[in-house]
Amino acid sequence: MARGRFHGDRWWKVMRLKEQCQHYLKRSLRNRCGVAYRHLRRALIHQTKGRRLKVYATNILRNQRLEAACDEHEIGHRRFKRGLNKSGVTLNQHMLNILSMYEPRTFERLVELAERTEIETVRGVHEPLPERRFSANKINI
Amino acid sequence: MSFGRANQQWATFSRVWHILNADRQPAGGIGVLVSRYVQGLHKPIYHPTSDVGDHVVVVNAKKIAYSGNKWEEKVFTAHTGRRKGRVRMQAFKVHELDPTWIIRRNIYRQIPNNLLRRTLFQRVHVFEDENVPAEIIENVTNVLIGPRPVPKAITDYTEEEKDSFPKLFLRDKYFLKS
Repeated sequence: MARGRFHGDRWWKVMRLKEQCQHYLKRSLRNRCGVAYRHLRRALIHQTKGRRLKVYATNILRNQRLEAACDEHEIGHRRFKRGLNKSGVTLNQHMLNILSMYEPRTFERLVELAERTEIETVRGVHEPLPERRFSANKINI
Repeated sequence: MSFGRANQQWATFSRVWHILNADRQPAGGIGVLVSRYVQGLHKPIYHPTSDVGDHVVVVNAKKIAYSGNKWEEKVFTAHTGRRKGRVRMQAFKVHELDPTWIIRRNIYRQIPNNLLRRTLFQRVHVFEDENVPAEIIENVTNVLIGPRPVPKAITDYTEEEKDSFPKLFLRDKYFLKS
């Protein structure tokens, strides 16, 4: 590194840079400060933007999972969420995903609750629920 | 076959083989339906990077239906890359050459364009009729319902049903020339 009269020693600064670049750069790139700095800057920009985009990505994924879980019980995910809202269940989407994966019976009861609430609030009657097969769109041979 | 608590994870991540009858079904609708099952979008454990899709066997690809006048109006295009290398072909001509091509194309286009696309598409097995090899049909455990209810053809009705159908007017014998 060039040592100018007013610049001082940049050795420590370079070491900090190398520390951050160590794991994602090739050796040939790591030894060149300019290239390494450019890569690091690009990575940090991606990180900053990714923080915002991650929210959208997780929301899409959770929605897809909930749709799949609701399809198994032959109910639309919008109808399901509306029914839960009306009946005062305040589980969020992440929690519903976990329940549908690890506690399928609990999720089934939640579907029943939502369906019953929808029927009772709209028609104002207590009717027997429609029979549901586990796994929609399928006939077991 | 029952799975205990310990083997539950095996059952969760096992690949299921579905079968779908394409008789009198729309080609585009089949593409949407099959691509969902191939990607694993019908499972609550879905994740785009984890490979949780199923196999789908499509039979009777020869008997797909298009609405309207699409067999003649729909045109598939390709380009060889050279000058004047554009190839245009009507749907019914393509179907005569290869009866499975239209369905395979519809499914392939519905799968998102990423590195997994070709791998996922290998799990789709399309056959023009009901002759499926034994090593494929023995894996099948599920039947998918097509996107459209199958209409009854006039050949499916018996002569008695045709006669008992109420006739509003009696057509002249020579109403149609040929």
